[in-house]
Amino acid sequence: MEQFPILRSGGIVQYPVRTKRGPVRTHVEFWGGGGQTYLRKRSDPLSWTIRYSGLSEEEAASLLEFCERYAESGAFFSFSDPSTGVVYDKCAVEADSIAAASMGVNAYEFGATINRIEE
Amino acid sequence: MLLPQLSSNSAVQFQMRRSTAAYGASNQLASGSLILGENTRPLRRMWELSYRGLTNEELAELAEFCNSLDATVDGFVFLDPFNNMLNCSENLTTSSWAADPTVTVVEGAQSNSGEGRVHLLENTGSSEQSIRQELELTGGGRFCASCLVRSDTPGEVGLRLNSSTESSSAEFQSRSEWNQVYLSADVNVAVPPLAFCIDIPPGGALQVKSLQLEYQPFPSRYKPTREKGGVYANARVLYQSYQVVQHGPEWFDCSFQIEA
Repeated sequence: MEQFPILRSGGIVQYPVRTKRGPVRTHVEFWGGGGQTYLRKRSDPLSWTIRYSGLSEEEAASLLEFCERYAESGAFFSFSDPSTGVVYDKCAVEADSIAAASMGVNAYEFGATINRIEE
Repeated sequence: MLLPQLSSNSAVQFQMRRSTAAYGASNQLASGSLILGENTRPLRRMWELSYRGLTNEELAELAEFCNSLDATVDGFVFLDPFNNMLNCSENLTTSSWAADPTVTVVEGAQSNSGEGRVHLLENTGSSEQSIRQELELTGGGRFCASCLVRSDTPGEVGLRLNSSTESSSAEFQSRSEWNQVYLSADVNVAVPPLAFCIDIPPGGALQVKSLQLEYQPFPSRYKPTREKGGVYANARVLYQSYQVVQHGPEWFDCSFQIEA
């Protein structure tokens, strides 16, 4: 399975990386007071929002090409959790989250959100 | 029709932004499972282009271009400045590329330095032959074709940009070390396609990598494409996104958004 592109520094991400995990809950307030919290999803979602700055043109193009190719095809790739090092084999990129900007020579920015897909 | 180039022959300026949007179906079941459907249409891509310090002529050309799009149904062909125009630049054995009968293409190893995959091109014929890729676009401007070449024995290699009416070419010497060659030429494509060609002399054998075609005067760093390159048909300027600020005589800033 294809790996996420590696930067010229050898790293996969730049800090900070925002990781979201944990069950999704919904809280309902009752008319007479009180409320109830319940699980909206029984699964345990995990996602990473990654942002890069100071990228070279090649790095930005490589990230953009990789993410768009996977977003378009709906295929999965493997991604290593930056905080734990655990490699998740089935990950997908959120198509709406892919964004790139060129601020100058070797001053490219890139961002995307990656979701772990549960079986 | 292509986005007009400025007096510097570049079509865009730093700072640009690019984003994507998808249209797909999703269904969350009572069990908590989420079923994601395939995208119902191809990814939508948006570019936000900003220009600074434009002259009267440059602004007038951009304004005329944006206004002329109102009358078109099919939009225009946008050449993504974030990408290489060539399809499958990393695999010259795919159907995106056409080789003349006596040219053999052998896929080689991946370069370590991010310069892409090496291919061996060999012409066993007795006349000059080529490998080429044709791109569907119309319009004119300065294009830059580039690649890295080497050969075990010194030889010649040609780069050529062809349209139905015009052809620009340049010949280079290939040596034992990798050497970047590029052809920067004004090409007017009245009728598609625009062809990117590498000419190999009779009996010639050379290695190539980092094949790139760009809508600008000089080559930039190589951007590998495994499938589609950065040529987007049916692009349009987003309604009411066109904005101009005048800072003084012959000094304009301009921005607009493109969707494809």
